[in-house]
Amino acid sequence: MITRIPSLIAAIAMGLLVAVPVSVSANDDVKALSADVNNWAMWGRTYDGARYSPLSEINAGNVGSLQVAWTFSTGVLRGHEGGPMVIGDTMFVHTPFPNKVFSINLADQTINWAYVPVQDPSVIPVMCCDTVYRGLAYAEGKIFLQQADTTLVALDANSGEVIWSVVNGDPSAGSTNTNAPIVVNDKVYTGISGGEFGVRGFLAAYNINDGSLVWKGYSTGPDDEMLIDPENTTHMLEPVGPNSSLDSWEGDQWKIGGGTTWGWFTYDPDLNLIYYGTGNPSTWNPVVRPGDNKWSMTIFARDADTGMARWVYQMTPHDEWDYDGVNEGILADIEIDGVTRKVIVHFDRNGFGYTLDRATGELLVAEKYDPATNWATHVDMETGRPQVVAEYSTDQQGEDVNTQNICPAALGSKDQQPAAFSPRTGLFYVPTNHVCMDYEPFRVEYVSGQPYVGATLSMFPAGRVTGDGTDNLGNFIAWDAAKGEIVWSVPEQFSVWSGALATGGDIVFYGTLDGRLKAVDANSGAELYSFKTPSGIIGNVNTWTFEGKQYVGVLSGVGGWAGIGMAAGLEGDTDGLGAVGAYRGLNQHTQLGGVLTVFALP
Amino acid sequence: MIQKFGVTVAGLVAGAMIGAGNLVVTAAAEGAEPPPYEGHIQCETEGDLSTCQIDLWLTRGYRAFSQCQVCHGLTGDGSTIGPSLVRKLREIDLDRFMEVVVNGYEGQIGVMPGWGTNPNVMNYIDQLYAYLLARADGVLPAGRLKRYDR
Repeated sequence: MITRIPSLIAAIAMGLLVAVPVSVSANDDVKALSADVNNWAMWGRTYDGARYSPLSEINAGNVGSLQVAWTFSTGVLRGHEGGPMVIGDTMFVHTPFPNKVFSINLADQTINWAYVPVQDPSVIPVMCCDTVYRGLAYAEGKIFLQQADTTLVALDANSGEVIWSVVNGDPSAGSTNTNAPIVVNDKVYTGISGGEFGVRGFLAAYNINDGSLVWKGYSTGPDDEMLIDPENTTHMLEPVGPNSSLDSWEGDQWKIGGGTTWGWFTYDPDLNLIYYGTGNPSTWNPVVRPGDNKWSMTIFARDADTGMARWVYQMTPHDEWDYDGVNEGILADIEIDGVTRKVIVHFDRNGFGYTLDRATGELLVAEKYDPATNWATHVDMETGRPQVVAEYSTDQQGEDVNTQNICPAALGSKDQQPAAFSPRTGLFYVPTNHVCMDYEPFRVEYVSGQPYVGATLSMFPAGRVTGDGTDNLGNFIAWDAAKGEIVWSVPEQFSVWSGALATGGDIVFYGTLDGRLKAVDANSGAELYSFKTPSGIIGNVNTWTFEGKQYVGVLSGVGGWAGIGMAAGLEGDTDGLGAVGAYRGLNQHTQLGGVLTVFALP
Repeated sequence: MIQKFGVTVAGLVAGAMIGAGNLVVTAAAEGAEPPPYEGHIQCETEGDLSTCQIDLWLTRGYRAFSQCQVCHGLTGDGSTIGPSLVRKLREIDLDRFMEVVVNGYEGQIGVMPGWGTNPNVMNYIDQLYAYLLARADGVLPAGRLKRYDR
């Protein structure tokens, strides 16, 4: 505390009024900050990841007259995911590699401080799908920055000075980080990226005061290293039993098996459970790793204090398509069959929207949220297993065979772009991809620190498979998680790769790859507002107030995996790849460059 | 084409010298001037690339290219991360190609890793070069191609 007082005094002297708590726990601090609708104090605004703000000054009746209030260039070119964090009169903006952090005074939009970490550029090529970074966490006067090179840093929120830093992984072995950490009680939680490099995934909890490791739970391997209790950790309400992971792999493949943890984390304070998903097993060639490959492709519910897994649910046993299970789990209380249930809702890469009881892991609903999904007919509600269609099984079709017209594509019906939930409408608002693929697995050798992919892919609009004459690559949908039904669906030319925002004004915001911030009616999906920002949007739309006025902000800056289909040049042909041609058209709409655009009513 | 072949031979020698121990020299006989993909592509209708098929040798080049896709785009035409290889292969010779693939390259926006120790690339470096050159020369379409020698 002593070290913080001078900087706090300095900050006050400089006219800053960051809400620095005095003697409460971080949990209380973060809870209080996120309960205050004027802030946007964590990635999902609240622990439940709902990305819902009760603010209603901007609403369905007036959003059409929204205007740009101010803009801010980050000076970084690569894909900008995540969104701005606002606490009191201060905004914190993060960037992709080199992972700059800016503290911005909302009164005059001047920079209070900027932190630019020094990172070895050799980490850049170890990041499979662009150098994205999804955001910061805040607690007790500290900003938590998860750098690409895996260094987790606590910065003084008032000065930008480093308080502590800790190394979370080894980039030379393929480990990197892209995820936003979260803080619960006295711990900051982070994961690891590198599934395409054979990295073994884990969730780690560090003490927020000194950075010491409190616990680490792996996704694969021996029970004790996964913090799994064979008797008490359940899957589909039954104990998982001993060696649940080891028995589902051949030999030592689990050691380089992936199950990385690069998505979003949510938390239920009443149950004290932290929720997240694990990524694909390595390699992308399923033939070389027989078995269910547990616990890749799995939702974990862990005790926040001890890390012990309460329950797990594996969406895609023995993945054959790269359907990472990392997408967020949104916590909501919704009525199912007349009973209000505490649920977690998860829109998986595999095209199914899952609703589970978040206390027990009981599977309640599993339905396709993109009707094009064809790799499985349905999920067996007794076993929880998807019923795989042989025609689209890259394992059954075999190595060196091009399995065609699989829906969705490897980037999933939804990727990292988080959905939103409005308690006013009871609906989930989901940014989706509408893309299918051909997938041909083949043998590759594992080399530490090198990509470990093992499949060739082609991607194209889902309409080429469904034969409905459409060529859109995305949809923005409203989803009823109790029934497992699409309520409305708005087609988008490109994949919707931006995090959604639902508000008390009964509007929903999202961004498009060609750079438009859009507002739609929460009940009908009707477009109410659209503005072309400087670059394609893969960031999340956030909202806050300053001096009593509501603002909406979003980072533009195209990139990420969505940008991989975006050609730098327009030469060459696309025979037989109409779809890639469609993505390729993206560069007629937008170019690189990170800019925050802030909107308000006139 | 004459110039390209001269470069190819020089490049293969240079490539072998910079540590690509697994290089398989498959260039045509001395005195001939075919590009390295010649003899590996068959097109049913001349001028219609959609009718082209390739052999296993060139398929291995396409598979090695899967390592490149994550940065250079699904078709190799570039992405927000890396430049178009279709265009690059028109600009650089095999020497330069080998140097960059083996040792990596630090660009203005991106950083390319060195692949010199990766058998999934280096064992098929000839095929990769031939595949990319075929794309650059406009004799193969983007995407996966059927094999005529299955």
